[in-house]
Amino acid sequence: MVFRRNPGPPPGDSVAAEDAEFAQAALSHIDSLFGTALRLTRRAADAEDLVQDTYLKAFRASHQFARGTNLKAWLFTILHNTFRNMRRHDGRNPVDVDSDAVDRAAADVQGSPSPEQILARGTLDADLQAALDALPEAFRQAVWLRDVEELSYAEMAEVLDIPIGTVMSRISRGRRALLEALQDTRGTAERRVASR
Amino acid sequence: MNDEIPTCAELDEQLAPYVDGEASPESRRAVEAHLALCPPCRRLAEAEAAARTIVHGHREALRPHVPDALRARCDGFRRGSSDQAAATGSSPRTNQHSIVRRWVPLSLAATLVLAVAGVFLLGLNNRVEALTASLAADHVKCFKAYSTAGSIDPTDAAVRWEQDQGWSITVPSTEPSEQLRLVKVRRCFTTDGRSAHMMYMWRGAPLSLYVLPEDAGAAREEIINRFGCEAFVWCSEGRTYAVIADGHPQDLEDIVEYLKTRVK
Repeated sequence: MVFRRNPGPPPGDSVAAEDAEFAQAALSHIDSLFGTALRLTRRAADAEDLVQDTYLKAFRASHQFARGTNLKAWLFTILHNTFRNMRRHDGRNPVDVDSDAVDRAAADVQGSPSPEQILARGTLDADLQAALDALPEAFRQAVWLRDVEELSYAEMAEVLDIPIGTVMSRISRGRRALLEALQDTRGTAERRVASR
Repeated sequence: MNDEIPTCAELDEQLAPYVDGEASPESRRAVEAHLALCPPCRRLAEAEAAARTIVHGHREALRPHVPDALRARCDGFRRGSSDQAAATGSSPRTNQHSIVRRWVPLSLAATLVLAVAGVFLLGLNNRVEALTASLAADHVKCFKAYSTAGSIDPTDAAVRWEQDQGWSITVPSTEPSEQLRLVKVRRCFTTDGRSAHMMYMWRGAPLSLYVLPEDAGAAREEIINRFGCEAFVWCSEGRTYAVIADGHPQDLEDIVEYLKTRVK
């Protein structure tokens, strides 16, 4: 959703109305923000704090929101910056990616269940959640923002503060690693059934 | 391969837009030419397309339910913002001085505006004062956001904190004789997750104890009044501590001393 403000300094009532409109539009994205926060932190309590802090910062900095740009992407940028700062103080680097491992994992999908077989599984949602959470963080963010939140490559580059080429590369590698993880889960389940 | 067909390495950044159907006609032709000649890359493209189909098709199911309490808290922030705008007849950004004059009772949003503005407008050029301003804002925010009913066990909270955060804290115990009750221990995101925030009710009023695992440079115990709160800040053995209470309660020094001897 694109939120627009009128240019120039409006009178007080208009400002209050605009602030209310801004807040309403911002709050309409709470489901997306919480889902993303949960994928980032993997802890419900931390995700709640992250979303809460994102809204506090967003309301505080609403005047910095550029008219005509994507409010959802702007909120995601605040959320990711807050998360990055938090992680920096933890001494962890979210962009550490073992690309070779992902390449090795995704390169050979022969002998694994087909996507159709995976889709047919009744427990896919839980497996999918688990497989997403098991992805390296940088890939998890890329797949989530693209395939669940449907951000554009350019918006993702801004949110994640990385070049657009890196965005595309991470999306590809993340998707392939995810499929590999799902196929591993499927294979494990089949072996478990066969051994009974 | 000729010049128009990308190499396997060059395909790395072109596969996502190809799979998403967002590649330019030129790029699409080049990728298809490569895939026609390269079975390994073809398998990669098929795997990527399959994963995209699966995730995109389940995106609604993947989104978690937002807790009602979180939704209500964030909605409350919006109301705070509106209240503040209505009270001042202007936006936070255009009339900060009028906000300063009428800061009691401040809405949450106004308090946060002041926390930031204070660093620039109120002469908080000292790191300890700036930190205290942030913590005071966090204190107000959290006691608006979280329920203060009930109490939690300080020992359990300390154990859980160390397990989750990787560094230890001593959580001063609930003390009926001091009318002190521990209601929550949380990670303070206002300080980018660096500090522990122990939330107490003391004589029925909010009281916060913050612990930062770093020395902020308080030369001695400092008493700082910011945004309707009184804060005691001190550093000890590489850590910074702050006790923050609403208003200027009598005998605050006594409870600070009580906490000081137990939080080490």
